[in-house]
Formats: sequence, C-alpha cells, structure tokens
Amino acid sequence: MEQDKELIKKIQSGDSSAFADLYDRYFEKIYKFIYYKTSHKENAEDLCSQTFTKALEKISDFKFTKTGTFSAWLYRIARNTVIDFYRTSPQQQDIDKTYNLYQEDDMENKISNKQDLDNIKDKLGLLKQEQKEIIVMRVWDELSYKEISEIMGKSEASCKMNFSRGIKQLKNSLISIIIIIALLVS
Amino acid sequence: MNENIKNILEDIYSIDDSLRKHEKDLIKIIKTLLAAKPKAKYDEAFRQELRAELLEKFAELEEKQSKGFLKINFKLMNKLPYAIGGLILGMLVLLPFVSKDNILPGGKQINIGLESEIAKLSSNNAFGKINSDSDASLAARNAATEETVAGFGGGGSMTAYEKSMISSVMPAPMQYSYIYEGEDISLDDELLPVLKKVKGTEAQKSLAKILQNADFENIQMTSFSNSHLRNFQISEEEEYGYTLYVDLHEGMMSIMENWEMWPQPEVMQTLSPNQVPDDQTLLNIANKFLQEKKIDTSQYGQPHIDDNWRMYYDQRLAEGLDYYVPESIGVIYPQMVDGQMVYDEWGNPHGMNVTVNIRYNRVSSVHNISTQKYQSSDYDMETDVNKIIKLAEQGGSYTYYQDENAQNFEIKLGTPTYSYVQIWQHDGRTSNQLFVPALIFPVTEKPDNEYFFKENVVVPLAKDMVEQRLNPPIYPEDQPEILLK
Repeated sequence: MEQDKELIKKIQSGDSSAFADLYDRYFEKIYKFIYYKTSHKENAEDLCSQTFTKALEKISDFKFTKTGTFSAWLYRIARNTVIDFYRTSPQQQDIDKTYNLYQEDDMENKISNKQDLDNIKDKLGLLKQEQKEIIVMRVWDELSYKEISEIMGKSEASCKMNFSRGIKQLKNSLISIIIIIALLVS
Repeated sequence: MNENIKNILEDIYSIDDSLRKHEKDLIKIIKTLLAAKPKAKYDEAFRQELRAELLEKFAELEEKQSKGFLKINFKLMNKLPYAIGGLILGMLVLLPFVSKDNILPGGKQINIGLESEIAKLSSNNAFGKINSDSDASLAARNAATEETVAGFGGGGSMTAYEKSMISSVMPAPMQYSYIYEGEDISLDDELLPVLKKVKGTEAQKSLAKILQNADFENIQMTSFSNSHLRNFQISEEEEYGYTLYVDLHEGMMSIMENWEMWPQPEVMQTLSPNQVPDDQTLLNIANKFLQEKKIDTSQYGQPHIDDNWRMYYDQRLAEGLDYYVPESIGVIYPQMVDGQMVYDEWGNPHGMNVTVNIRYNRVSSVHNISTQKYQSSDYDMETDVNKIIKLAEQGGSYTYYQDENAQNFEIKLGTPTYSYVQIWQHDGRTSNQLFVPALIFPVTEKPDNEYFFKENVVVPLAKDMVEQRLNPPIYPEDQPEILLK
C-alpha cells in the first residue's frame, strides 16, 4: 500500500514511468478479476482496457483516505465496468449467471467432464449473487475482506458473514460435492 | 493444507465456530472451488499493447494539462470569478509594462488550491506535538474557557487577578456541571490522521514576477529577490460595491462591503425583531449571492442561520433590559474536510460565514473562503473511553472550576458523533491550522434562563491534547499579569 502511495504521488506530479509500474503491479490481478466475471477472452481484454483507461483519466483525482486504498478503487472501477457491460449488452448473459459459464477449455484439467461442471454450476447457482461474488473474490482473487468490503461498498463483517453463509450452504449440499471430489481424484 | 485454505477456514470459524467439526467437508468444498477456478491466462502481446497505449494517453493528458492555461483559468473563473477576475484585471493593467513571456512564466496554471486535496505524509506525528494555541494561552493563565468563571469560563481555577475582577464587577459566579447521558461508546482507532492546511501557492511567485516587471517609478522592483505575492485587495467603486481581499499565503479570501460605497444615513433607526427576515429568506439571499459570484459551496455542508442574537434578545427583554437587533445576521456554511464536518473548539460548526445586512437585505460580507489543500499525518488517539467522557464532563477543556458560592447548573450531553475540530497551533513564527479527529457531544438539556450558548462539547481524540487537558500545567497563582504578557 505504501508503494502504491508513492507511485500515485509520482503519477499525480506527471511521472509516466510510475504509471507504468502501477500498471505492471495490477494488470494480471485486474485481468483475472474481470475474466472470472466474463469467461471470455476478448470481452475480458476489452473490459480490462476500459478499466485502466478510466483509472488513468481519474487518477489525478484519487485521494488516499483512512479507509480507501488504491487497490480497492481500481477493483471497483473494474467491477463497475463489468456491470455496465452486462447492462448495455443485452445479448450477453446476465452477470448473475456468469460464474456458471466457464468454457470447458478454460477449466483446470481436474474438472474434465461436463457433468462435474454442471454440478458446480448447480451448487453455485443455489447461492445469492452477492454470496457468489464474495466467494469468488475471496477464493479465486485471494482478496482480503477489507478489500472486498471496499469494492462492494459493504462492511467487512457483512462480507465475512455472507462468505461464511455461502460456504455453509455449499456444505449442506455436500453429498453432491463429494461426488464431484470423487470424480476429480479418480 | 496450503496457507490460503487455512486462512479461509479461520475466517469461516471466526464467524461460526461450530463449523470446525465439519473441517474435512469444508476443506473439500474449498478445494473444489479452487479446482473450479478458470485458467485466466492473459495474452502477453495484449498486455504490452495496452501498456503502450496507456502511456501514450498519459503523455497526451499531461500535454493537455501543461497547455491548459486558458482552460484551467476558465475553470478557476467558474470557481471564483471574483478573485480571478481581479487577477486578470490586474494583469490587463500591467500588460503594457510587461513582456508577453512573463504573463505566466513557464505557461504554468494559477492554482490557488480551492479544490480539496489531501496529501498523506508517510511519517507519523509529522506536525510535532499537538497543542492548540487556546490550550497554551489557557494553561498560561491557569484558567479556563469562557464558561464557568462567572458565566464565562469552562473550568480550571481562577487567578487572583480574575477573582479580583469578578468580585468588583460581576454578580455571583455560575458554574456548569456537564453530565454524559448518551449511549456506551467505544474507541477502536489507535491511529487516525490529523490534517494540516497547506499554506502558500505556486501562483504567488508567478504573480510577483509580473508585478516586478512593471514600472513603479523610482522603485527598482526587480531588486527584490525570491519574491512572492502574499495578498491583494480589489474594490468596486460603485453603489453597494464590495472589496475582495485575497490572502494567497494563508489561502483565505473574503468579500466585504466597501463602506464608502454603501449608504450611511445620518440617523439610523433602531431595527425591530419583526424586520429580521425569516430564515428561508436569509438563506435565499446568501445562496443567490454565492451563486452570482460562482463561489463553490460543494466543500461545505447545509447552511444554517446563526440566531444566537435571539436568545440574548429574549433574555434581555425578560429582564427588562435594552437590547439592539443586530444589523447583520450570519449564515454559516459548515466546512467539510475528508467527508467530515469541522467544528471549532467551542462546539460551533466552522466554515464559510456569509452575513446578510437586514437593513438593505443584501449580503454584506463573506468570510473564510478557504483553500482546501491539506497534509495528513497519523497520530496516536486516545482509546480510553473513561478519559474522553471525563473530558466531556469538564466541558471539553481543563479541570472544572469549583466555587462553593457559585450557582450550579446542569448541562446534559448526548451520544457523540465523530468529526474534526479545527485548532490553531503556533510553531514559533506562524500559526498553523490543524484539523484533529474529535468527538462532538451534543448538548441535550441546558438551563432555560441562563446565557448558555454552547450547542456541543468538543473533545479532541489526539492523545497529546487529551493528556494536556486532563493534566494541565500549573502556574503560580499570584503572577497572572506577567503570564498574561
């Protein structure tokens, strides 16, 4: 975070190499964050490009506050860009369903057949959108609850609670999941 | 089990410890979720291409900004055309004497810092020990603020000098007991940012250079080195004209009536209370003036009318005494810093003050139009609730003055809100404006028949200030005159 502050200070005084450093620090994280929400390479690239362009245009106004970090600010831009994409592109699937839309060729080798995929889709489909989003940010993006709370505009306690409830719900459907595991290790 | 899974499990248990018994199942779920993570591999060529595009755009934006003299001035004109109009007027007057190259050296913008900006400093306690000027002077007098001493002081014992003054001219003293009746509070933040207003602006140097290039007869202006324009004043020479005063160094502006151009009847009739417009009318007059002058109010909260005069008036009337209705009524626009309202040490909202002359129903002055550039540095905060409540029950200041002959009045305080208190701190040469996190305790009950104006009790949270106010330095009681100097 201190490193971010230093870089932003330099960017705000016109140092382009500081912006390049900041981009290098965050590109992969933001790309993945968007990809998990779209599961489509071209869309992810397009939205990633929009995210960084918006960040560049607004970075002169960025201010560190006692609660606001640059990381959360950037993720929030990315999240809003994805939401706008789904709002303005009716031909695209609803964002609520995106976590279920992995292409088979995108999956880790461990899940190799469509039935496994469908099982996970079913289980995640049981969760509320917000729970899914928090679980994905925590487990896949490896974001802290503090970061998630800033991105979602919710309290840390509420994010933790949502995550825990989501996992509990998945646990209650454990039999199906155990079947998946069995298939995974076979 | 990898670290990530361990952390996730601990998070889950912190919410619902009963899930521990299902650890194996939970691990399976988490592993499944991790296994389902899509392989989001980016295209390196795309990454490089986007990087190059962004850097190109960065350069374009920078170029626009550096060429943006007219644009940025125009933006400032929207903010405060009065001030910048004055600058431009000044430049036009001086243009015949000034080479074009010197209008703004380096094509730099005039940025006087009206837009809010907070620069976080990496080191803690960067502004030294926090000690407001009022604490220093009060401690020196070994006395307190304006409430307990004969209805004027806020605590502390009286000096011999004060006691003698009071015994000769004042009635029996009054003292106030503050009682906290709000909800339980907790203070979790050990460190919070204290803000310091940044003085000065880059424009000072550029503007000084313009003036120095002018021909001032026998004075060799260019012989003054490293010059900065600190302030200027412009007056409208027309009926109901105004004077604009800009202090570039302190970052303050004010607009006042130009007395010479306002009517001054030989016989002034005393105003009566029914001549005072209602609050909405006063607000409309103030708002309209600010809009006309395009003074940005976005950094300020909801304005309110300062109607303390009414309390005085009613009280004096009840006591059969004379009291005059004021010629001007204040409209306060509370300043917001970092999203928080700012209070002064006496519990009043601090901000831009617009006064409306009710004889002419016109704005007569606007004070405290301030620049909004701050530095921020973290300071230790008091987390002991008992100390904070104790200080609140002292009225926010020093140890409460006790006099057995004094008439005692109870003041009740409600649950506080978090805010900033503005203090002045002297650093040996100049005074600096600091904004310190504070709790604002609202006065919920006060005596009806006394001159008690305080609406809030302000308790700063900075440890330095809490300690000083709870344990003030003691000075010998018989030397007030020396200490007062």
